[in-house]
Amino acid sequence: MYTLMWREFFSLLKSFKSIAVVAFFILVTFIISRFLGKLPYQFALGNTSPFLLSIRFLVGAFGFLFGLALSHDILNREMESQTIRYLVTKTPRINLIAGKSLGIYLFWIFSVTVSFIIISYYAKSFFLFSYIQLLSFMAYVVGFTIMLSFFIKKTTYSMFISVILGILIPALGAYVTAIKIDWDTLIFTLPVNNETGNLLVFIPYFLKFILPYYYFSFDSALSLIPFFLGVLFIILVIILFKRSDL
Amino acid sequence: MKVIEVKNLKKKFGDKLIVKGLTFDVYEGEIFGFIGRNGAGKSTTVNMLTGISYPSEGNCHILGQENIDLVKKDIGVMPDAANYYYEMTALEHLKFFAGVKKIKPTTIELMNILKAVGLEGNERKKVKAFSFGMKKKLGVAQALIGNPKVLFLDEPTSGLDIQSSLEIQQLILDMAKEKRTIFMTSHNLAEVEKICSRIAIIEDGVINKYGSMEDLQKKYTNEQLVSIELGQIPQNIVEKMTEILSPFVIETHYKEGYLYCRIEDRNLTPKIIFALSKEEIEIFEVKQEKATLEEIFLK
Repeated sequence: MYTLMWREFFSLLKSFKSIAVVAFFILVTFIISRFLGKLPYQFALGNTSPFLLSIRFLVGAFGFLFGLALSHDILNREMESQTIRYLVTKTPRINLIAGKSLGIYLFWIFSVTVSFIIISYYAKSFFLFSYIQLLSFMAYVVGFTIMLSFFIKKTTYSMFISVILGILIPALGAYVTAIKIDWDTLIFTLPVNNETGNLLVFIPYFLKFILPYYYFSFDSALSLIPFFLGVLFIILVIILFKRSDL
Repeated sequence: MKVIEVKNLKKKFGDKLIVKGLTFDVYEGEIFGFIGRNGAGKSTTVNMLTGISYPSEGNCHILGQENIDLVKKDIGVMPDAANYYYEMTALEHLKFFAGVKKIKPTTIELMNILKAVGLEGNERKKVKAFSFGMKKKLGVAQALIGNPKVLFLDEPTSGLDIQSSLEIQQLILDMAKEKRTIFMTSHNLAEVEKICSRIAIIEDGVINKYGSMEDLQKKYTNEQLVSIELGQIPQNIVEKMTEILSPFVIETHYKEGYLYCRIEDRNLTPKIIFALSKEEIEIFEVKQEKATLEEIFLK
């Protein structure tokens, strides 16, 4: 498992794309924070650091896109090229998925940590809670990426879909997070008018809890829910992968 | 000791049953040859035995364990269709696979494996520069990591030159001498006949012939071929030969001092010798020609 983890981690770290991603995070954080810093006090969000706002915005908006773009082929590439046959005959399948998942997660821990350290240096403060929140968010992205790479068998398709989802999910996340539903009205009217139209109201609400953005707004342990959702995705892949022919 | 136990193994792809209930055992130190036509179910069976795919029905025990995960350290697998990481060298592959297997062989040990399969001098060459034959050898090499007790080799010599094939064959024989069990598939019947202690022939997902080469020869060849080296004989006797031996043989053929007799039962051989002696024909050597695996396979 650890061999696979380090291999994924170092291959991501060595790639030009990943260096570009980290550089993008840091550079854009500086640009946005400088812009926010110049705004009059009433436009800024109270005591929240502009640096912190920037990095949170960046991870929220681009985390999915970068996460999926870098690792959309983590499993299907091995299945397509059949290198996976050498791996599954040497280690249990659970180790294979766990090793690869940890490898990508380790890369994101590294990237977010590096970005935070540099930003903290300039902001003169380390934002521990936000740091944990972002790592929880990235765990979700990793779980989602593993799931996508397992279900979409061809790398060309997964690349295409990952770009679409990388743009769509943050937009959808922002939309569903803002949704408020009157529970009383829904619960009392549903048994009477249980038509499809009514049921559809639940979809964005359901998505609100499935996507990680809603939990971003909490300053409590609820922020860790995306982490557990990400783990849940990986467990689902492990269960399905255990019974699949390679 | 049974190392591989297979009971009623079946594999379905969609509605199609590819492997239709295989039952066989492989013993310690044995080289077990698994042969059959293309699409007969050989590789599907190997994949099920090695955890690449799962049986639809039935079960297989490797080293007494049904859960293959528990014995992955003790088995070495060379699948038929698998690929490499082209940016890695041969040695890096072995190191990586050893790490995946959670074993830590020394670089010298890995170099020795590469040397044994004939990849000496190519250890630090990237696999993308390898020929087909070299990739095959690397396939055998990666299966040998960690001195596995059981080896599954799916067509280990296909596409190799004669010299390389012979080296791999010798390697397999040497491993069997060390009490390692080898399960191999091949289309090279002469190779299987030469090195395998027992053979199973699979046809359309079913084993239809199974046993040692001797067993197969006894079981599946009713007719026997006897070759007899004779002394100088006059032409008139040569012409009379068929008539003299007609009570015992199906067919005779005389060529350059050798008489070939096709007989139904090997017990008739002494009668042929007696009949020839009666005609005062000198006999230098009598040889019982056995059916080849190819003949048994095609029967």
